[in-house]
Amino acid sequence: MEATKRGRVGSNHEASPTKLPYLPQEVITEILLRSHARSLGRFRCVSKPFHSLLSDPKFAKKHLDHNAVRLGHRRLILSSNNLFAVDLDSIRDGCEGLKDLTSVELDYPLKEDVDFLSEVYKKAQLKLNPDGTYSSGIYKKRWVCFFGSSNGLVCMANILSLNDVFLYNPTTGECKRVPDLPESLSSKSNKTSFSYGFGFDSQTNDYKVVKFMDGNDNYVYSLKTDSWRRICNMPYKDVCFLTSVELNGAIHWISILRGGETTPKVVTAFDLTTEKF
Amino acid sequence: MSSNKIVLTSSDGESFEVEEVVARKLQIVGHMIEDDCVINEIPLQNVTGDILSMVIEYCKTHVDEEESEEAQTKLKTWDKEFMKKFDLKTHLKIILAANYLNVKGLLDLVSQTIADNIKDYTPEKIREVFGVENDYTEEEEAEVRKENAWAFDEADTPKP
Repeated sequence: MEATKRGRVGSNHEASPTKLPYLPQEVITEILLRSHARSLGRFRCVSKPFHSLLSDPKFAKKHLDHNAVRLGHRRLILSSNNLFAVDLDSIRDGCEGLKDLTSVELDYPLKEDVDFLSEVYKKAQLKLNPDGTYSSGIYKKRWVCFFGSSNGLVCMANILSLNDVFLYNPTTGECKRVPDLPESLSSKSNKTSFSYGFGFDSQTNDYKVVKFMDGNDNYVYSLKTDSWRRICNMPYKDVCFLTSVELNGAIHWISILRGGETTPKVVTAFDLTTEKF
Repeated sequence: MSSNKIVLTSSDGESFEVEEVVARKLQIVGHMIEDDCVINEIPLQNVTGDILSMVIEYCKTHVDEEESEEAQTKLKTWDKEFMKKFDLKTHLKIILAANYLNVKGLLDLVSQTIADNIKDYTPEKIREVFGVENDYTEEEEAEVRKENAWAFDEADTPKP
């Protein structure tokens, strides 16, 4: 091992006539806290101490606090069965008249899954194209359903099997599959109709996923503990829109009021800290 | 506000006479005044005259921070132009001084300026700027570069 180590000390940094001043770690950290996420990914390759600092969740939290107030590189994530990103600044810059926007398809998890494709092809032939013809282009990619996003993380699920939920970071490409609800928790079986919500609890620095099932059976998943818990009932009948919006520490959905004939719609809020509706 | 004058002396013996309100922007000086040391002359051991004069220029401009949007925009533009005057080496000297003298606003400004200027730097260049030793083995470095491949793009690959 020793033989392969490359010492860079004494390279041009020290020999250079325009020697740069030595910065203490606290000052370097101040600079890194204000750096772009992409730069930080590259700076992880600088050294082991840099790597551990830049992978530390505490650093990530501070970095987020620093950059939340500042306009950085912002992207709008669009979902139309696939995930696309649009550079938000390109919209702001083009205020005069109509402008074509460039969207980039993201490399979201499961985008290309060969095993799954044949299955989808079969289903597509049977269900979606009664005339027996289908365009081979349509199902090249696995479709996903978008549920919400928070601090740049995206919560999404496999559109054909909503039990497969993923948290995805479009910047780094990192992805985590949320574990299935343990059988010991879900009392009644064969429930299929659900929706999700996703948000960040700033009190505990934890990301949470809320899962709704038939019969007002609701659960919350905590990324920190990597586990599910059953939570209180929602005061309304059903969530009628899949996508949730996070605002002021609560997740919001449009829901249907329980009872009544006209099914009026209301906004439901779920407080991420108290875990109550 | 008092219009007391205070003399700040740099490590290389240069003296600057400034109003107390300006000197208080340097929190290290502010604390000395609050500790009731009646001082007219304050020696600042870790800052040279050329850098201290830049810090004072910043503090003079920011001495009365107005709330109005117009004043804020004006200050932001001034900050930008002020930073543009200096190269990386000077920025690094200013950040050290801002940290030692505890000038919060300047520390924010110069940290952000450096962060923006080094944002496209390669790991090699960063090692040079911060004087960091590469303690990865070749295999380890290849692995960590692979993990973070999303952060590199065509622009980062060395040009022939």
